[in-house]
Amino acid sequence: MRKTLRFLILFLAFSGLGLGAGFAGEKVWVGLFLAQNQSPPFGVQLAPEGMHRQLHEVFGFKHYILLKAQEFGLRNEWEQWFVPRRDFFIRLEPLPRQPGEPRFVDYQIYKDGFIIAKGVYQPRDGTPLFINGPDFHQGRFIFVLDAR
Amino acid sequence: MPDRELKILLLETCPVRPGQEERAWSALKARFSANPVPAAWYWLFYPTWRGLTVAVLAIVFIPVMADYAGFSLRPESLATADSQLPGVYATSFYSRSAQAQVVWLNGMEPATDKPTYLDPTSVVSAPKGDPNSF
Repeated sequence: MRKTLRFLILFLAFSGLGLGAGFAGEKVWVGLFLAQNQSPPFGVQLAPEGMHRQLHEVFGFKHYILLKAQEFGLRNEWEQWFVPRRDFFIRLEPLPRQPGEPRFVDYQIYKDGFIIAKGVYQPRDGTPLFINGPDFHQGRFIFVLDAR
Repeated sequence: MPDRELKILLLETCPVRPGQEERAWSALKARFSANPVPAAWYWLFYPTWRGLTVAVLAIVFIPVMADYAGFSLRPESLATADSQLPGVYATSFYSRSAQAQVVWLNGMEPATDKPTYLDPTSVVSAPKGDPNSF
């Protein structure tokens, strides 16, 4: 009896750790950052501390200025556009999901009006997607897609 | 040399002491009949039902529990990236240190402040003398 109870407790405890993935992916936050080493001007919005650390690990810049952000509902299974600049933008399309299966999002990246890359991304809690964009002056544009 | 002559020769040179043969036989029998104390994990190395049960548990139970615990069996990077433009290279990978999926695009022209084709045509200065030009 005690063994069964212990197994049940362990099973429930371990099951709880996987719940995050199950509920993740209802919304995705998309932001365009300008990464640069020069000190940012006063008043601009910077990346939150956790995201700054992640961005710094990958790209190595000192500052990440948030230029524009938008939130998309992933239940809307049609194409949605995030156009922070005329020469660099992204198209997202949440793909239909079967019950119990993870959500996938189709993305296409446009530069100067041409599609330059496309792919599929799975929004996951705590695992954002960073897309390395073109250089701009002394910095670089970076798309960030984060499951909310 | 025949066996019989060899035996006689051996008896002459190395005589068997009285009772030595019996003692040797009894020692050998005792050694065979004794039940050796099995090692604690001996069942792991022989095909037993106990070993089979443990093997099935290890193959099925541990990966399932690991999956529940968050050590997902799926690949960590589920982002794909395909280049759609000649000269542009797209790679996707998972950064373990940053705990983030990354799509790395190489070969793009730098972004500029200049007007793009999406800007209103009035912004782009038309060269003089070419009425068809924007």
